[in-house]
Amino acid sequence: MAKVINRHLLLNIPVAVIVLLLQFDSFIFDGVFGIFPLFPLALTVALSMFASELGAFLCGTVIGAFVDSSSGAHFSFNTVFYSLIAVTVSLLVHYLFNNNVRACIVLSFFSALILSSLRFIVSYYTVGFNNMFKHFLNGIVPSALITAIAAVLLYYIEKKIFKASR
Amino acid sequence: MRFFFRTRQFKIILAIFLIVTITSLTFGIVAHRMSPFSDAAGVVSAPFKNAYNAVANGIKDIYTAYKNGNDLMIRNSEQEKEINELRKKVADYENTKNQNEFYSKYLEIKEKNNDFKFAPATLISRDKSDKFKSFVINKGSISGISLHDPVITDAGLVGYITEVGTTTSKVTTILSPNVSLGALDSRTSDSGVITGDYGLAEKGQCRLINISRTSGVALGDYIITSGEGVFPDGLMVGSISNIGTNPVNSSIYADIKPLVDFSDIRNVMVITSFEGQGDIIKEGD
Repeated sequence: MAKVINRHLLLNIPVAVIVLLLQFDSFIFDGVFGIFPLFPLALTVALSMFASELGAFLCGTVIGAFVDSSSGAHFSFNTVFYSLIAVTVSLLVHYLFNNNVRACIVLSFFSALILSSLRFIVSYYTVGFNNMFKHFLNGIVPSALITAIAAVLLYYIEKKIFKASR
Repeated sequence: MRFFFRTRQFKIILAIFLIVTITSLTFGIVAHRMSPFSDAAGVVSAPFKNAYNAVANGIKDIYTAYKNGNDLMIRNSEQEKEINELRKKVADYENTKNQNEFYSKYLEIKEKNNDFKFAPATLISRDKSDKFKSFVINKGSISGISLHDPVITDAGLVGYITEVGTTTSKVTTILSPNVSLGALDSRTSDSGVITGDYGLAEKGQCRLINISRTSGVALGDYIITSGEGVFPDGLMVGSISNIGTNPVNSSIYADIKPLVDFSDIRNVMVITSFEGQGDIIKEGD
C-alpha cells in the first residue's frame, strides 16, 4: 500500500486542493457562459493516466468523497463513480491507449459525458423529469467539452509531477 | 487486461469498492445521512472552507464596493431589505383583506412563529455543475439540523435539507424537480404544488402546478407555503411571473420567480423546529 501512496500521489494534494476550490467556489471562477467544467473529474482522469490501478482507484475514491462533501449529489454518487472511472482510465491507458494528450481529451470527454448523464438520470430523471434531451445538449455536452479542455492543462501538470516524483 | 482481474490488486479494489458502495447506500437510504466517507471529507474540509469563504467574501465585498461605490451598495442592501419587508406586508395585507379560513389560520401561525427554532448557517460550497443550485451549509447534526428541515433567508424560502452530515448538510432548493411543496396564492388562497423544471431553473424560477381551472390567480400574486409537507405554512416563496394551461389535465400552472436570489446566497436560517413538524412523515409511516 505504501508503494501505491507514493510521492507522485502526495505531490498531487496541492493540485487537488486548487481544483476543488475552482469547482466549488464562485469567486475565482464562475464558468464559461454559464457552463461549468468538472475540474475534479479532469484531474482524476489525468492523474489516473500516470498511476497504478490501485493508486488511481484510491485517488478517485478520495477526490470523489471530497466532491460528494461539497456537491448536492446523494448516496456517495461521486465517490463510487470517480473510483470506477479512475480504475477504468488507468486500465485503458495501461492496456489499450497510448499515454498522450489525445487519449486524455477523449477519456475526459467521455468520462464527463457518462458521469453527468448518470447523475442526471439517478437524481432527476427517475422523478419524472422529461427534458433529458434538452439537458443533454445544452448542459451535459458543453460541460464535457470544457472538461476535456481543462484536462489538457491538468495532463501536462500531471506529467510534470510524475517526472518530478521519479 | 484479463490478467489484471486475477491479481491481488483487483481483489483489493473490488473489496474496497464494495465496502464503499454498500456503506454509502445503507447510510443514504436507511439513515438518510451522508456516507461516512463524504462526511469525513466534509469534517476535514469544513474549517478550510469556512476560512476560505470568509476571506473570499471579504475580498468580493471590497471588490464590489470599489466597483459600485460603497454607499450605493449599502443603500441597495437597505432598499432590498425594505422591498422584502414591503412584499411581506403586501402579502399580509391581501391576506387580511380576504377574510377566509386561511386568513385566521395564517395569522395564528404567524403569531406562533415564536415557536420556530432557527439555526443560522453559512453556505460553504456550491455545486456549480448543478442547474438546480443545490449547496452545502456549515451546520450538521451536531448543530441540531435534521433531514427535511426547511431553509430560508430573510427574503423567503430557499429549500430543505436532504442530507445531513456531522458538521455539514446538503440543501436542495425549490428549483429542483425533486421538490414537491404545497403552496397557496396569498391573495386568492388557490392551492397548488411547487416543483422545479429544467428550463425554468436556468432562469432561477420554479413552477406552481395543479391549480384549479376556476382559480383567480394573477400575474404578480405572491405565493406562500401552505403547510402541507415538510414546510410550515406562511413562508414567502415568490411571485407569479407567467400563467399557462397544462394540455394534459387542463389544470393551470404558474411560473414563480422566487424572492431569493439563489446565485447570491451566503447566509441562511434553518428552521430546526416548528409546530406540526414531522406530522405528515409520521402519518406516512
